[in-house]
Amino acid sequence: MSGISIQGKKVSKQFGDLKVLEGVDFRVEPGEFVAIVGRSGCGKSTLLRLITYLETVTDGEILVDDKPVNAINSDIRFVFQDPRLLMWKSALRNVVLGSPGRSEEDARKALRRVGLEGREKDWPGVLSGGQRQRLSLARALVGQPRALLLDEPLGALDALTRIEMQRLIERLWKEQNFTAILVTHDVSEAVLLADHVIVMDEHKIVKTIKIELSRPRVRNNDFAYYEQEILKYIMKNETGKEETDYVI
Amino acid sequence: MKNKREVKGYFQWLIPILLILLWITAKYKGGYKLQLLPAPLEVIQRTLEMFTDGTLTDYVLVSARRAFTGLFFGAVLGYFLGMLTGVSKVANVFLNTTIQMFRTIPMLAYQPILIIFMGIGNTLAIFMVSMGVFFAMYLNTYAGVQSLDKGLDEMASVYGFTRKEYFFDIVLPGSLPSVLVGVRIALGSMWMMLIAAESVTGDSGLGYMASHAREFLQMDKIFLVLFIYAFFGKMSDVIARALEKHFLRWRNV
Ligand SMILES: Nc1ncnc2c1ncn2[C@@H]1O[C@H](COP(=O)(O)OP(=O)(O)OP(=O)(O)O)[C@@H](O)[C@H]1O
Ligand SMILES: [Mg+2]
Repeated sequence: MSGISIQGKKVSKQFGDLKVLEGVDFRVEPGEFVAIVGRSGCGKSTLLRLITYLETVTDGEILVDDKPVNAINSDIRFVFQDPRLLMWKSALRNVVLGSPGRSEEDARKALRRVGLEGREKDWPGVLSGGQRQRLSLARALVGQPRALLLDEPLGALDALTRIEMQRLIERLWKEQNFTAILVTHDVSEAVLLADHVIVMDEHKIVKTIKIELSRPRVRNNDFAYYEQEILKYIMKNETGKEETDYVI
Repeated sequence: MKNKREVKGYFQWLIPILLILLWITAKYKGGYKLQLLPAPLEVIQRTLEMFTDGTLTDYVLVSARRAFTGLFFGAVLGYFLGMLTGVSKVANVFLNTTIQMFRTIPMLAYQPILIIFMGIGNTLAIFMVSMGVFFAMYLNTYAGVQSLDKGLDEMASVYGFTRKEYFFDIVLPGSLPSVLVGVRIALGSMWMMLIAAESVTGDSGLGYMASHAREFLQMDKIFLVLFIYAFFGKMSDVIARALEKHFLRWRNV
């Protein structure tokens, strides 16, 4: 099964009086890997939650496969920052509960794919942080979803485990051809994985940068150029913010 | 490893043994009042005597029956209503405030009213035990459901959990740690309520034995009852521990 297109048209979201997103436009093509970067609180998670229909838009429209979303869609899976596993269920059972048909066979396959073969019977409590995140990845991918939304899934992991997980995510994305949207704080992670990087600030998308590097990517000069480019857009607005801070 | 556990097993009896030594010392070396304490031998004699004439077994059986009947009704009702108010908003609105209000009234304050309606027999004892157990179970079950990670709700809706799966795979097992705390407290209040109820009920049970002994200043008998309570308390603890060890395997890692 192939990826799904995801599009936002003038998406606005408000919580009470708090404006979180204001007229956000974007389009993610089927099978594309998009990363969203931006400072804390700029609305990245909210955007993902709108796509998943965990929240609803205040204004504008979100289209999945060119149809407006009006329900939670089992073709779209969400990987949360905390793995949100059922600690009282075995690894296998956690993954079974992610598969639309509750298939144990698919669950075993998914566990193998993320490198957790042999850990089927273990409680999530005995797994390491990285293994737990793999488990939640297996749970997300077991039903062959057409889009995977990742909300800082690697934020809590150590540097080496992160690298390992980034490779795993890229491999799975290539194998299964789903559309991927990854929210991250790590600019280098965005450049490493994404076809397009969306930079958000002040409730808006301020820039979309296409990363034209061949995969697998290595951290060479070109890589560093993209990192600089992205940072420029994040920092530009940050200095503006600092000035207003000093006025107070 | 095994050795270490064995040593630990011995050490937990150290303080109880010291207390018994203290009791003996107080009895024979203490002041005038302390000499009122029974001698260990008297307690043992009393035990044998009451055991052979069958009264001890009688009292224990009567009390145990009341305790477990009350435990059963209180626990079932408390668990069920706790789940209900935890899961259902409607039930919560109608029931929770009321139950929380009644819980703050000390059980003993009801006792006179209950005696008017129920007399001082079995019914009163069973009812009071049920009440004590009910509140412990209700509060902890309710708290267990309420304190479930809200993130799991979202996870469940993203992953298309059915209502049945949501209840049996998330709510029920997720609230179990708190429920088992409730069981532990319930077992404690079970004995407490039983003593309180039986000390006014007519003619049977351990509480009756204790209050009767008190009136006649039979110190050996009072001590015997204390030992029996301590034994049952310890048993309750062992049971609660075993339940936790079994049902919370996933946590003991
Ligand atoms: N349910 C909600 N009710 C009220 N305010 C909310 C709610 N969800 C998010 N917000 C607010 O919306 C803003 C954006 O939140 P969001 O979680 O999308 O940020 P983020 O970009 O993901 O930040 P981070 O990088 O720290 O995760 C924040 O100010 C947050 O307080
Ligand atoms: Mg976020």
